Amino acid sequence: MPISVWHPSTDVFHCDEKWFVKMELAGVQPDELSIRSSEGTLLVSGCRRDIVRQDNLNYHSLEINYCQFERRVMLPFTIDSSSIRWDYSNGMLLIELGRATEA
Amino acid sequence: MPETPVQTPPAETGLRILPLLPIKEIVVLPHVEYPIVVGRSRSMAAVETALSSEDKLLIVFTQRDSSVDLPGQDDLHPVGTRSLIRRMERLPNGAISLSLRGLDRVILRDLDKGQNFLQGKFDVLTMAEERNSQVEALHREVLEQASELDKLMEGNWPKGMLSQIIHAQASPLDHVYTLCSVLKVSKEQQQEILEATTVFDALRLVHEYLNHEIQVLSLQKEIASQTAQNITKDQRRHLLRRQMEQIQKELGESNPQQAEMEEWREQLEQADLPDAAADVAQRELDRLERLPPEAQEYQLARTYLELILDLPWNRSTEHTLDLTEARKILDEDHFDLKEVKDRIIENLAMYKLNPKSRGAILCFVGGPGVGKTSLGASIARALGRKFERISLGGLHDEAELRGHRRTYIGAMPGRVIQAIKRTGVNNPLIMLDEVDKLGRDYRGDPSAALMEILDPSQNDKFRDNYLDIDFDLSNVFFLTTANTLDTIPRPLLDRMEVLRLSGYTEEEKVQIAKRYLLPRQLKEVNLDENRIAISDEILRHVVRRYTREAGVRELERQIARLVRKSALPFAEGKHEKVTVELDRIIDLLGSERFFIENMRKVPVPGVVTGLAWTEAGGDILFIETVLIPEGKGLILTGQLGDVMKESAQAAQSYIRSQAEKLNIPTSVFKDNGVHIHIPAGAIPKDGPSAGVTIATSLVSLFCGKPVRSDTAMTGEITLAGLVMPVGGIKEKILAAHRAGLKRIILPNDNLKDLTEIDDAIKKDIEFIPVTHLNEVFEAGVGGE
Repeated sequence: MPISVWHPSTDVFHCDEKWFVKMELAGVQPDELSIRSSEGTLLVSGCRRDIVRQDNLNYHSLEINYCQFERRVMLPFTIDSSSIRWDYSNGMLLIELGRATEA
Repeated sequence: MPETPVQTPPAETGLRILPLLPIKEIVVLPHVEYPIVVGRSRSMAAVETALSSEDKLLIVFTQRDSSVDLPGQDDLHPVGTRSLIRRMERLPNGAISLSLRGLDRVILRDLDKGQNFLQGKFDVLTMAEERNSQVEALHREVLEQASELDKLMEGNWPKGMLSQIIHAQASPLDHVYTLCSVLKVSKEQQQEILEATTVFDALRLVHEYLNHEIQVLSLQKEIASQTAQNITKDQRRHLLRRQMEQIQKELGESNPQQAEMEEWREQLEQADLPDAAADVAQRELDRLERLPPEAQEYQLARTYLELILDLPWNRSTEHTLDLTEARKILDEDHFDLKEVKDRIIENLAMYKLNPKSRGAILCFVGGPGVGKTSLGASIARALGRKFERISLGGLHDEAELRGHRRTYIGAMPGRVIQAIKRTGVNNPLIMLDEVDKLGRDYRGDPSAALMEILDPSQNDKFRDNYLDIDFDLSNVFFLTTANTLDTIPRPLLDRMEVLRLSGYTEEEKVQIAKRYLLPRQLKEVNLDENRIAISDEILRHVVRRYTREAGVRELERQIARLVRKSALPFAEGKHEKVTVELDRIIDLLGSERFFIENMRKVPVPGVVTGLAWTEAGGDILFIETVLIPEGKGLILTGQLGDVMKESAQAAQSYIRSQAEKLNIPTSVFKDNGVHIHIPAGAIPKDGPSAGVTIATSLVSLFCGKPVRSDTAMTGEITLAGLVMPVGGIKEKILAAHRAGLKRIILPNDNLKDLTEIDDAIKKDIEFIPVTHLNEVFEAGVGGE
């Protein structure tokens, strides 16, 4: 059951025909990442869990968003889902999108 | 077109156990973020546990009763919210401030109280995404209501706040929860919405709430606009008045009305009024305040209020009731009048024994100047009460006594209430003077009103028309005076106990003059008996030669004159003592006015001295009869009343019927007419008591024998020749004594009245009691 709780900050840019979506999304296990596309919408969701796990943990303050996130990115074209490539390194998720050819 | 998954995480396994945070005042709804401060140690422990978990989740349940500190499963609503801690911060006081975001609805299955915090086993409640026309319709309706609410609340919250929040979201359920969190939905209603199992139900609940809210708000707005109108009107007036006051202050004019109202209010609070009067006064004051001072009503209301405040509702004088002291005062003020004084003392004694007793109202009857009014004043002094006199002479309007209703212009309270107000106490002695001279006409009968006032069983609730509040007159001591009882209405007379003050004898007058009148007059000119000496002899001479009255009023005037004239030298600067000599009296008072020896010195047949009773006391009168040769019948002159004329006729008839026995030749009747005249001709006379006298004069005339001039007589006669008793014997005897008569023929039945006569007089006069006319003729005409 997907619950969208927070939305990562996102840049969208393109270089000629190549479109990119960049998200600031640190601390997420790659296998908890979900990337889907539907026509002109790109949907990125997942779950960020606290990596610090130990007993007698005592939070003094908390500002980082945990748990489910979701980001829906609208693009001015139909996405070719097969052309989606993604890379997740140093806390940045970079997704490359291709325009679906008009059939 | 279905979504194309590029990368999918493993499906959620479903966390079925989480730390539980019980909250008191709010309901955490899904999709909504709440700031919460957690202070309870168990709750803090739950939050700590959630924070140290990898996804910072806990479940939140609202308590049924917010006063429970350590809630069990039964104390919590069964449906709560799984929530995420978005932000967290520790406050300086150790509490934790949280920003909680509701995620989804959960139902509590089991509560684990084992740790130092609560842990709940739960199931996630899913809600089917309904997409039917019913939901759609209701949804639109809710959205419309929201925008209407926006309009109603314009100015109270940012313009179009609801619309903006709503349009940012999509699903109906989102709208439901958001609206609930923003609006003033009660905790219970929120919980109900949280527990709704379908979207439709949730929408319906919100719809109901919004509907209610809109109705209340529009009503509230309507009321508010009305009050606003009123308030602005009032405020405007207030403002203007303030400005006016300011202007008046600047001009040096104060606002008298405002100050006056304050004064009234103060007085009213301090006044000791009975409840009924206080109510009326309060109402009147409220009315007064609303009236402009120019209104005619204003003055009326003011005067009325003044009266209520002035009346002595509960104020009274402490009255002393020392009988010896009372008698002393009475004796000090008045000479003799023993019988009257005794009666007054008896009354006071009764009053002393039982202050509640309602004795009869005393009525003093007597001629002018015998001291009725001053007796009243001295009774008041003896009782220690305030004295007030109301003269009823010539009063012919009932309203004078009982007041006019306030509807009339110029209405005033009646004399009684006015008198009470003047004395300032509710137990004065009020003397109703001249009750015999009450008038009566179409305007009403004042004696009827007087009856109510004098009746002790009614007058504790005396209602004056003007005052219109019951006033208790039962503490008032009423006294009445009259010159004669004849004109007093019977029912009124019944309520009073009559005390007669008959005239004074010569000796009494001298004593009164010496003890009271002379000192008083001397005081008037600020001298004493060491400066002006007037002997008893002089006083007696003045009494005899300058006055003829039952009372002492004229005597006082003559003495005043005497003193005035004698005091003249002192004013001119001389200092020697002045002694009034008998031979100087004519210089001082003028020639003698009355002659006591005006009993006729030479007796003539047909002239007899009679005795009369007048309002001024007794008097002597002469009955003159002459034969008119060749005349006819009986001529009666001298302003005689019918009763007197009839008794003259009776006398004549009796004598004619008894002519033989009386040795009267019948030819006398045949040849002569008879004329009876009673001087002085200008004074009307009436009554049967001259019967004896007329008969005697006729016998004397017919027999040609004169009647002794030192003999006076009185008595009513019958055709059979019987002599009946008459009234006013004491006054008549005093008059006879004054006139120097030596013998008085009077009805036998009147002998009892002689007890009232001083022994000194009895010594001077021979009384001849008679029962039959023959005895009269014998005593009067026969002897010589």
